[in-house]
Amino acid sequence: MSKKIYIFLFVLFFIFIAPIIRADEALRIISLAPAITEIIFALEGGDMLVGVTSYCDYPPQAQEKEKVGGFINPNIEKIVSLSPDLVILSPNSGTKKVQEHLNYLDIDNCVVRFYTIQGLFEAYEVIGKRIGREAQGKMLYTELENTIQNIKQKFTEQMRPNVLFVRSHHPLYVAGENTYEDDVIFICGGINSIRGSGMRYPQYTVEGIVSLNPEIIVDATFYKTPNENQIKEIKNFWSPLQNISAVKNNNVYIIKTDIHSVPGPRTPKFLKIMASIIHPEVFGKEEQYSERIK
Amino acid sequence: MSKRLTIAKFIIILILFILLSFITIFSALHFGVLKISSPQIINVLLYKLGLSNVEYDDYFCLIVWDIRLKRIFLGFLVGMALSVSGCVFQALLRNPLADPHILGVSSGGALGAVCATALGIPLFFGSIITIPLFSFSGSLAAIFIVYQLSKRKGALSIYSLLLVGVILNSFFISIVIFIETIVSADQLAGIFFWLLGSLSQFHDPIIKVVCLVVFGGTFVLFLQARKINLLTLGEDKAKSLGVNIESTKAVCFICASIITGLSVAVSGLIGFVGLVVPHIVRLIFGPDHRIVLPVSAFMGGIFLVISDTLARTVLMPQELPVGVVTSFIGAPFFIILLKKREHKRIL
Repeated sequence: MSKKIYIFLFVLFFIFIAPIIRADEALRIISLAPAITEIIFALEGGDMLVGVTSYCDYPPQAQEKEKVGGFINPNIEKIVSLSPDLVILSPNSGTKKVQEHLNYLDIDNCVVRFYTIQGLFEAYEVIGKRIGREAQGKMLYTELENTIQNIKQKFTEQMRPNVLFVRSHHPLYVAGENTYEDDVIFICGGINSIRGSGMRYPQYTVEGIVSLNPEIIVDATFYKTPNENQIKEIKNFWSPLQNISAVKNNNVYIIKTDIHSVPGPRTPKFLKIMASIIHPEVFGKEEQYSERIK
Repeated sequence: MSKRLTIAKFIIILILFILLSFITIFSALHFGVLKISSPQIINVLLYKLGLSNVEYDDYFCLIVWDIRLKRIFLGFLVGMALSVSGCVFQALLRNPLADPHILGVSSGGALGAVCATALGIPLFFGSIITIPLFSFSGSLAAIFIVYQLSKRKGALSIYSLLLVGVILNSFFISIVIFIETIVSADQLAGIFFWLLGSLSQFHDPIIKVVCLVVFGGTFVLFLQARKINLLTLGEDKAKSLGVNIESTKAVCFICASIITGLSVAVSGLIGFVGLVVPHIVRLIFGPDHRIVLPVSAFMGGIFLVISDTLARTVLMPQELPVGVVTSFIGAPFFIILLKKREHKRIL
């Protein structure tokens, strides 16, 4: 009889102690966006990541993590099977549905809005807090803040050129207001040519762009670094449009890196590149990460 | 309209529609972000056509000739191809719901384009020519497969043509969607262009090829018009009236498919034009294909030019997918016409 009681107490002890042991373990986090993955790695929380989307390829260690599908339609079963403590999502058309499932399954989750610079600041704070890396979050925050301050000090408000940021050629999508690119252009001393379109990434006609007549065009058609043929294709697209002042004055820049496509820890670097493109007279010519069409 | 078609009437109608096409194209040239007056447009056109020596402002030349006219002309050709092939498919399959995309030719083209994009072939050769080339090869492959599978004892069976076509269509679309889900985000943008349909890619060599093939194909189909008329009565009747139905069916199917494949290759999947324009023409001019075919060609061109002009000007300087506009203005127009003509025999 007493033996049974001992066994019972022994089992009971483990039942109570288990959650405490569990709490000592590292958090298990799933990231549902490349930018979130990148931020978590920068916050030195890469070890906590147990799942990422199939699009998460930076930093290289992210490629070794378990994949849970795309960021709009991740595989809920895969997420559950990884028994995460926290799932971090980005706002998109699939977010609501995924969140509903996660809430139903009692899996802790949060949505981080990083699609503007302001959002990025908040993302650092929120993610830092949620994964227990507040100090590192503060560091990223300060680094971004300092970069912005440094750039802002160096040019005067009067010399803001019109900048057009091209996202894709077929169809011709350009960056409008309330976008990451819009913020970056403004911080780097330019002004976005696209005003009041109502859409974040409106589709424009070629004629529409000729009529905007931007002074600088930043062409980031490809998410990845474009190859020689793609660069040639972009050049062929712009060179007949000699009436656009950016084309006439050789101010069409083809971005030759992929850091423009993910807001996050690499944003300060992107800001420096864009600052050199918009104000070469202040920040020096940019030749490493971009190519002019002539 | 009276039932008999005289040569005089035919020529009058044809001239009327050629004039109407020119008027539409000329009017469409006026619409755009920048205000350009008629005399300026005429001057640019005369200069570019070599009829006037007055050197004109580069700026207007660029907008009127290189940006607007090329796009409008491509739109006209694509509209023409789609409605002619829609008209032929409706007659050939004796099915009022047939359109150029029904027999898997277009989805074959989409598959070709998507494969090229997914395999990264444009990365090495440039996408402007590669994608239309692959798309057109996809269409040709689809035509060949559908044609071979629908043959029964050496004869093309209309019944199996429709079934095989529709089934292969869904099959190709499922592969397209499958590839779409597995490729990376930067390749998706290119695929997207295909499935929405757009006339924003207008390059000289492409326009020349499309022009040649579409006019050629339309002419060949027009020569078959009388036989198509007999074919709509039923294969047995046509045969008893002395039509070589096998060659007629083959020529119609292959010609219509080729011009569809080519228009899909340069503009993606633009819907509704091929379905509704031939019906509108039949409602107005009756069922004789000798008149329905050429009028459908011009009407399709005019319809797509108007739709595309709206697509690029309604939200100026933004652009709408042209397929949205074709359905939006085409459907109500068709229903009004149908209601007005309800007492008449349709089809």
